[in-house]
Formats: sequence, C-alpha cells, structure tokens
Amino acid sequence: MTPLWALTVALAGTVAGALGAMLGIGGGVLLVPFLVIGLHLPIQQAVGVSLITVIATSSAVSAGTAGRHLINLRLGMLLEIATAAGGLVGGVTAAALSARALAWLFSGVTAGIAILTLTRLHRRNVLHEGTHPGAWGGRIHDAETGRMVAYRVKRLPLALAGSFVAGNLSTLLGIGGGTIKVPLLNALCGVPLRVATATSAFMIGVTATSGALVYYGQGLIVPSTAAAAVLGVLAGSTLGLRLGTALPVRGLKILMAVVLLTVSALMLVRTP
Amino acid sequence: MSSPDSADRIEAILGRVLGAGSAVSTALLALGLLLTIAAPAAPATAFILRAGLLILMATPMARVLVATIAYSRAREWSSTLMAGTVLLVLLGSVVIALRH
Repeated sequence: MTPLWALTVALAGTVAGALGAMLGIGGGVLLVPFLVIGLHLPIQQAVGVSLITVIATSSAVSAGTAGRHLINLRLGMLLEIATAAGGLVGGVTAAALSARALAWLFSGVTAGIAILTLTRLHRRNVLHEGTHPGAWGGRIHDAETGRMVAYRVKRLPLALAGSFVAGNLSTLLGIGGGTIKVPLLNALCGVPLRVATATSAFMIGVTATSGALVYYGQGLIVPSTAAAAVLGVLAGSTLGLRLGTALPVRGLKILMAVVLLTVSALMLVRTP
Repeated sequence: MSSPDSADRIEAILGRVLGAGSAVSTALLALGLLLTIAAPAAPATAFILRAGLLILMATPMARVLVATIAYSRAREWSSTLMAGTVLLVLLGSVVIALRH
C-alpha cells in the first residue's frame, strides 16, 4: 500500500462520510461507487470495506446518542433479529452473484431511494400524543412544545419484513440500510423521525457485522484499505453532522436525490 | 415492559461498551495504517490491523452479549429472548466465516 493510495481512500471516506451524514444516508452509498469506479476495486471488496465503515460509524454515533432517550432499545432489538438474519443471507449470497448483477442491484436501489426522497419533499412528521405508548412505543421530549410526548408503533409485521430486506440489501451492497428503515418506520409505523434515525443507526452496526464477518471469512476485506476508509469516514461524518444542521432540509433532500441518481447512472454505465 | 430506570441504566451501559470498542479499534486501525506506510513488512503491522478489524466487528457483538446479560439480570425475559436471538444470528455469521 502506497501513502498515496491510503490518502486517496481516506479522502474518499471523508467526503462520503461528510455527505452521507449531512444527507442522513450514511457514507456507504457514495463510498462503494467511488472505490469501484474511481479506484477499480472489485465490487465485493468495495462492499466489504464499506461494511466495516458502517460498523465504525454505528458504534461511534450510538455511543454518543445512548442515554438521550432517542434509541428505542426494545424495538431496535426486535428489528435487529430481522436485519441480522437478512444481513447474514446477504453476505452468503453476495459471493454467488456476479459483479455485474450487484452493480445493477446497487443502481436500482439508489435510484429507488432518490425517487422516494423526491416524493417526500414536503412531508412533516407529526408526533402522536397518545396516552400510553404500548408494548413497543416510547416517550420522547418534544423540543417544540417542551413536553414529553408518547408514540405507538404501528404495523409491526411490516417493520420486521422491511428490516429483513434492509439488512439483506445492506450487506449485499455495503450500505447501512437506514435509507430503507428510517422512511418505513417514520412514515408507515408511527415512529418519530429522530427516534427512527437513532434506532436505525444503533441497529446497523449489528446488521453490517453479520455480513462483514462473512466477507472477512472469504478474504474480501483488505485490512489496510478498510483502515484508511474507517478513519476517513469517521472524520467526515463528524464534520458532516456539524455542517448538516446549518443547511435547509429541502435543499439537502434535492441534493441527495441528485447525488443518488448520478451514482445510480454511473454504477450502471461504468462497472465493467 | 421495562421500568424506565433499568432501561436508562442498560442503555448507558451499552453506550459505554460501544464507545470503548469504537475508541480501541479506531486507535489500532490508525496505528496499523501508519505502520503499513512506514514498515509494511513488519509482522506487527498485519497483526495490529487485523486486531483493529476484529475488535471493530466484535464491538456490536459485545453490545448484544452485554444486553442479553443485563436484561436477564433485570428479569426482563422478552427482551432477554430478543437480544439472545440476535446473538445467535451473529454467532451463525461467525461459524460461516470460520468455515472458509
């Protein structure tokens, strides 16, 4: 490994991590295309490296949010059963799929997320002021009213099924899967956005680990490349979280859709 | 349904496990990367990088293990069952990884 290669990977990780944190989609969705198209890494190796950065980000972020009443631990652990199982299956099937098939899947999923983002530009997330949160819900502090508000979890089987798919795509493509789980939990299952985001970030470490172990066992994770990427992504996401709060949400969503559509097209055209 | 006090306590413990694993693995990966550039052939280089990666992957597993133990000690059986099931899936991944 040359210093230039390490620096390039770390810088790519920093940019991907910063944009990913600002847009709330994680760095993997940008890091994988860069490693494949820019540095000509085989897609399975790029996914392996990306999964390692997902684990690092999840642990670092959740260590900070734990104790702030944002993570719904019980719901998180229930859904983790589904995401980890999906992740395990994804790790095993990734080796069997061709690089071309994986690139097509990556392209399709990123385009889908971009379209979903564009259709939800104006949606506001309303907290449910229920009296009792039920078995899976919880209470959080609402910054706008200054009171504790309760929310209930609706459509639990849907949340479980979606989590399995998210876990599966996560380890097939090296993305966190929050882009699938957060809109699902928020829009369809009644979970407040901040809770959905924190709970998803908490879960993706376990999801990515279930797949990363399989990649590691197959020798698909190059340790030095993974190390450079982790350091870059951690630095980038710290930076991105600071910058993200200063930018308007609507602009961020449009930027995210444009970035994802570009990534989608590039993966379709440029993957050998 | 867990009591608010024990839920808070368990969440804080899990946060500390994640923070410690994250700090140790990041430090090892940073050291390993420096050594890769400075002394790529040294046996310690590969060892430190692999240790960093393994600790990184072991951190979420440790978090699930600690959660399983903490919930069983708090006698919250449904949570214990969920955390234990997640642990079993992760052990399945370890078994598959070791077979290769």
